[in-house]
Amino acid sequence: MRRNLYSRPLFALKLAVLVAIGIVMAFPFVWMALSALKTKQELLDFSVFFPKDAQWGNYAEVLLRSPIPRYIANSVFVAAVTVAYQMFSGALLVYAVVFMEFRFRRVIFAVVLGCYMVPGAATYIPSYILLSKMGLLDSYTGLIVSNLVSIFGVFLLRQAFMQVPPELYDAARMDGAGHWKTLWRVIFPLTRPMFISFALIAFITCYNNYMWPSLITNSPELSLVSQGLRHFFIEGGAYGTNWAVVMAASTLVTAPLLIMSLLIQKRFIAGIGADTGVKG
Amino acid sequence: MSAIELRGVTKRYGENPPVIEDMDLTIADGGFTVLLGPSGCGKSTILRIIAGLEPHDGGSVRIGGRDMDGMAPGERGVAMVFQNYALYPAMTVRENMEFGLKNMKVPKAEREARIAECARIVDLEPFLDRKPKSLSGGQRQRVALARAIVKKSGVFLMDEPLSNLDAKLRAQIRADLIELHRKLGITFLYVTHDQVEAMSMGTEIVLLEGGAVRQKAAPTELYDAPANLFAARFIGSPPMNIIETDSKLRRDTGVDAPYIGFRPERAWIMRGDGTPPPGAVSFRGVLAARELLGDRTVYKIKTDAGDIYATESSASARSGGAGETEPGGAALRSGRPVEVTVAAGRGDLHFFDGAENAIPPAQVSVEVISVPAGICS
Repeated sequence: MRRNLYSRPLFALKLAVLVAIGIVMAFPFVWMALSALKTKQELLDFSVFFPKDAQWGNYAEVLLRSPIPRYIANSVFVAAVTVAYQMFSGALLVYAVVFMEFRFRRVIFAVVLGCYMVPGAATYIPSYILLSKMGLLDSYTGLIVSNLVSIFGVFLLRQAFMQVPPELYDAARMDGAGHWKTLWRVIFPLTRPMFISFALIAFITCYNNYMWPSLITNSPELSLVSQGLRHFFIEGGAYGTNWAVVMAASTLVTAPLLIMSLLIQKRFIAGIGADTGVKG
Repeated sequence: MSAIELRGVTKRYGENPPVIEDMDLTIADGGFTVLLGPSGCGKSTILRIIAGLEPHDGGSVRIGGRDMDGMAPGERGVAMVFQNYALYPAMTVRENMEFGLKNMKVPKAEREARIAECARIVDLEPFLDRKPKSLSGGQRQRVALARAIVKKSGVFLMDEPLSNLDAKLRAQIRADLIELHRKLGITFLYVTHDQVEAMSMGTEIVLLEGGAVRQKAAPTELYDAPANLFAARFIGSPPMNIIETDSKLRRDTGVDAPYIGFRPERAWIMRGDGTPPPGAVSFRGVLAARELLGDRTVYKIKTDAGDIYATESSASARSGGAGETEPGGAALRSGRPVEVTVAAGRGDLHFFDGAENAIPPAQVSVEVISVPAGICS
């Protein structure tokens, strides 16, 4: 029956459009990964798409003789700690704002969301001064502390928490559960897909972050991937850059994100609302 | 010992007029009390105030003699069943029941014993390790009951727990609840807008309107002796016939009450101008509609005093009892006006004063009231 509803030409057209978009999205990555296997000459020759002899040495060079693995580890560490805390702080704030009744609840939430309107760049200078006064410049502590709360996350989690029927919160209270238990045993399992979505988005943002980390960290060994990559390809000067090795480095840098996306792809798509436990 | 006492309880939302004002209410220990009323009468709010889910603005709530002021819902020794069940979807049936016990720090061995016992009571043993989403509506309802029973609280609060079930299941669970109440012997407080649920299950009904108690009585008393017009009109299906007496009617009959009422099931209905039994009041009118309900038939009769409903049980219609001549549907369907006389015995009459409160029948003098059929055909 479905076949009849979706007539074949329409289906073919849809498929063609999706494939075309897919190619456009994937092409740069494929080109980058392939370029990493080319020689310097092949890479600059547009007529060559596939390398004649795969230069695996480029990858070996990056992995064994460059600081890139260190940068990747730095970024993964900073992003993981930051995202974990952002989820935690977001959950606490949103729980209070959505479920608890207290004065100025709406005002508090409005102020928090209002901060979202402030462009990130406008906060660089005050944040920098603040961190410098706290003696946290050029440290991961400074980098992490300045990102402990994600307003985007607060907004996202609020949408999820508002889908949770208030009766569940009431039922947990009747069952004598405290706020902590209610949040993690009752509300969290229902909103987990949104936490996962948020974690993925926030991790990518953190991992890719360039401007702010490069402002507050100076030491090369503290560099995150974006900074590190930049260090890496300006090292040899404008004409000495070995582009094939740069491509290998760039490919490796995206690997953690690709792996993570593949692993949680399914959960990312699963939305809230499949079953909320109440009938209505 | 779990009587519930409300003293001067007031509840308002924001700056609006209070939804409940200065309410005094005592709910008997061990009874099956039903808070009954139309939507918006404040019945659910009262339940939530007793549960501690909703703070009140004035007055005091005592459960089993203890003042509940400042006590969290989990500390009050009350259990609650929600209208939409509110089962924890991520937990199995067993975990749903265990969650409250764990919070109450009940030891593991006892938790397991209680869960096993409750699962047996509500017939859920095969489903203990299932998640709520794999259960049917009726089963979920039973999990919600079990989750409340397992806590062994002295008070059991229920907020329209049957409204999401189909009619057949509803009737079955009504019977189950009566049995459960007898078995547990604890205080049941049940909120509903459905008079059938209230009449069939309650040992006492608190009838509410606009945040105030209109009558608090046993179901039979509420039915037999409504304290005011609201109670008379709310209970019964169809509700009581209320006739506003005008000055002519009062002069003709000598009734000195502004309103008289009688239940449709106590009315006689006779073809034409049949002679009503001695002492009865009668109204002549035209048959307007006839509803066959299986066990009984409801007639709507247009009279000068307004529309009057009369029901007749099928048994008496067949045996030619009270109905004498069954005003058959054939005549009605033919479109010819069917003239009938409706009558009610003196003992079946209710009287209400200008403030809509009931007057004891002994204080009202009545002669035979007879309103002739008139222009309404």
